[in-house]
Amino acid sequence: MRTFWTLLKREVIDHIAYFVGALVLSGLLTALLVSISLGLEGGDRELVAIGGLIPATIVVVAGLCALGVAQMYTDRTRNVSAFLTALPVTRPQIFAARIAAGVLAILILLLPLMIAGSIVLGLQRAEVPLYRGVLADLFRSVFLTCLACYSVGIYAGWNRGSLAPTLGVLPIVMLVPLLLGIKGFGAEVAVILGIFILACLIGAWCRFSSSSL
Amino acid sequence: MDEHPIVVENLVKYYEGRCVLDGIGLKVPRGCIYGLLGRNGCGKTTLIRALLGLEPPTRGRTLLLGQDSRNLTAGTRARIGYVAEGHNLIQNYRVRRLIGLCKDLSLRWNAEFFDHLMETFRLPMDRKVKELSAGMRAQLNLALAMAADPELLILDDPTLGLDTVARRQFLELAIDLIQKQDRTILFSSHILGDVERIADRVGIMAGGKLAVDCELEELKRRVRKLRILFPSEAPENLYITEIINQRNTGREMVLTVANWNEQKQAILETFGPDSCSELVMTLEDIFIECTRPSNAAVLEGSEV
Repeated sequence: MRTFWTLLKREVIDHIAYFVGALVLSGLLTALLVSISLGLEGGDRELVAIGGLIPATIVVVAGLCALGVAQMYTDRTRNVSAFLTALPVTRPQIFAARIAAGVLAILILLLPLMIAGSIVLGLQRAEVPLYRGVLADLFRSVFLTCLACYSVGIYAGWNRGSLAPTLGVLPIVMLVPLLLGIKGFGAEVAVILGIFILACLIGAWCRFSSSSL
Repeated sequence: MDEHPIVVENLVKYYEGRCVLDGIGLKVPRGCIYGLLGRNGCGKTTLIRALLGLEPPTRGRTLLLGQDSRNLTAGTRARIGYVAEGHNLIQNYRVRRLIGLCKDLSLRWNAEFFDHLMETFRLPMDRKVKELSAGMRAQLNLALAMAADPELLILDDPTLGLDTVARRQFLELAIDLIQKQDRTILFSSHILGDVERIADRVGIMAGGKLAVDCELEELKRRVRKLRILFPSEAPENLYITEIINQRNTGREMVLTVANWNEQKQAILETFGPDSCSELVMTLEDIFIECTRPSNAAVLEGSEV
């Protein structure tokens, strides 16, 4: 377990800009959520929500994909795994710590938002009646969408040193959040995203575990 | 305890259609200091990388400390020290951070010994690895490999890129460390003097094959270089097997041959030479003869 924590710490410190970015973005989005819910009324509320949500989605999606790419690409170019595997560390441990770091970044981004959301929901009476567990569904779907974008980055980042295939995945990543707009936040979306994430991570693992370091 | 900490079985490796390793077989006994020699690009590093599981083989398998290299557990890796060619450390880390990382990941860190080495080297802890000189990087890499107190130490051309003074310092320290503790060492180099100083068994790679695999003294004993003078023009063909190199100049023939014995001596006598004297061969002479492209097969067939 000590090895896992050390590798996780290494991943976080090496990509600290992404984690700080996630924290800052989470703070901004929480402030936006609170101000929309408590401070604005009517048309202003929708305008600010849409105006804030679209750029935030693009930043989150691109940022998480970039984190995945950065983790794999810098490993490849700096021979990080080659060095680590000369120590008492195996490839599955390196990969697991990497994914755990990605999940941690997503949680840093989403947890404050979800906590703020639940508080706001508790304080305010919704204009339309909401079913029990709406927040859980929302969290699950957004979390899986974020993880899917990150997984695409992890998959695309392990390449032969060319940035072209890496940048090529950005349009695909931008399409992932649209799934929420089309299918909503139900179990169906969770299944689709789950399969997509699994495929990306298995693909990335196969590349990572079978290639030269 | 494994009798052979390093085992290579019929290892084949292709790179983009080019055969780099062609059926290598090797067993290094426990406690042996094995010097792996070969010209640049002959596959030494590929063999070492395959041993460490960094390079997947096309065919065959390699075992380190009794475990398949592709599935080395963390526990087995903890028993292996590795100094990579070019000292492949994480370049953008500061020395202090790199040491901390290795220490945290190590399963048996000998802090006292490591501190002693760091005191000897006096490396700047706050400088980034990429800002260190090649000599400093070599020292840091060796110290990190040795701090884990490994049973098996693999050094891939550790003195590559070092100047003469740094190379000498590195080797003296390495010899000191090696002699103090009984461990198996695989040492690859293209500097023959280095290998001659510390190896007790050598392997010479040529043409993707292990042309020679024997004890250093045995190699020197088996490969002979003879200067033969004939009464008239030296014959084109002596009909002797395992000739590594033959050079005729008028009456004189300089013959390098593997496994010289009485039978070969008798065949030579039938040509009625005036004189036959043996020339002293250094490891460098043997290496040069062995790595001529046409001679790899001769030596491999002769099982030197």
